Amino acid sequence: MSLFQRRVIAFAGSLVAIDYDGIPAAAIIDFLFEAAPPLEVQLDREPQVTLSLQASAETAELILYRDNLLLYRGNSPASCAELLLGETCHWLAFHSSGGLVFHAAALARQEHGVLLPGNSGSGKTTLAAWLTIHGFDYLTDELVWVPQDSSKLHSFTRPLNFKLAARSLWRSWQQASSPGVWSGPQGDLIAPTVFNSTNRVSTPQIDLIIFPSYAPNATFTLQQLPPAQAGLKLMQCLVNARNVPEYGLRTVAQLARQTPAYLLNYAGFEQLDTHLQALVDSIHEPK
Amino acid sequence: MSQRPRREPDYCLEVIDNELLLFHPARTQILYCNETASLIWQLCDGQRSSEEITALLAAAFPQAAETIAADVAATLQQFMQQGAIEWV
Repeated sequence: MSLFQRRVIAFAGSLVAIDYDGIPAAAIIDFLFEAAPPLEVQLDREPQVTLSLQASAETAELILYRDNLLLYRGNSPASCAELLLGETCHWLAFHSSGGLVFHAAALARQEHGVLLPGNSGSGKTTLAAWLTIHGFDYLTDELVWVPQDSSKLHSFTRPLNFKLAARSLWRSWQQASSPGVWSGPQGDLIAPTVFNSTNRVSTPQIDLIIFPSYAPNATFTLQQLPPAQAGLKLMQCLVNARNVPEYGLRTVAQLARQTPAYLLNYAGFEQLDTHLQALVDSIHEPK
Repeated sequence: MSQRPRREPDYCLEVIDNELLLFHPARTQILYCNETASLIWQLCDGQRSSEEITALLAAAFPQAAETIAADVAATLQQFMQQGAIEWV
């Protein structure tokens, strides 16, 4: 007789349930969602999406379903974990409400929040990792929720998800075999404590916005954006416009008016070491 | 008679420091208008031709009269390409 366990992930008004069975499945759940937001609401409603993850005792195969749709069948915990994480984030964002959800990384230092909005491949995760190594608390590299009538950021905290192209970058800092590193054919999942052993999750005020753009041969530029241009770029990273009043435009505009925003083009960490430190230190200066 | 540009009515609008953000819900399209484009957008009411818009702005900003005609033409072209205006 198999005993399924259920883990419910709650974020931004969404609920995603994961039913899982087997020790390898439990290990994946624990690694991915150890730091996920606590479940503060009573479960008086059904999750919008249910995923199931099984580990075959006979073959050590991992099987991941969403309803009757097979998402993964194989023997790579890292590959399965990455798929499960992507599915979870997608459905949390899809059903989100009660505020703005951005495709963004986020970090904090002494109650000051830094928001790094950007689409896939923009360099959010690598910049988030660099800031974590330099003393920031990592909050997320994927989803940020700013509740209605608030400017505090709530993060979906998960392992940093480096794409394959970024592997050589983070391996310049850490050994590939460090505990908390799960490597697969698509990339690497890395627990934030690998970069900052005292990492602490919080819900800070948003005090600085940086739009990163990474390209291998980019010339470093750091340019402050006028509020309207910052608003444009924030709207381009808003993933739940259809779920919020007025498509979020008014709230995004307000955030853009009250928060300094910069566009960052960079090609490597040497450039960040030289040029970015003064900017991130400025968030502690009195306004 | 010259055709007149008219704003597509379904855009949500937000003004930030004399610049505009325009969001079209059905297309999930966001447009940014600098200060000049914002003025031109607001004059696209279906009542004025592009020549009349140019003349109005040149009278309001004589120091920029030499470039206004080109700015108006280029901005209207961009609005048209993005489906933000129609000609009536």
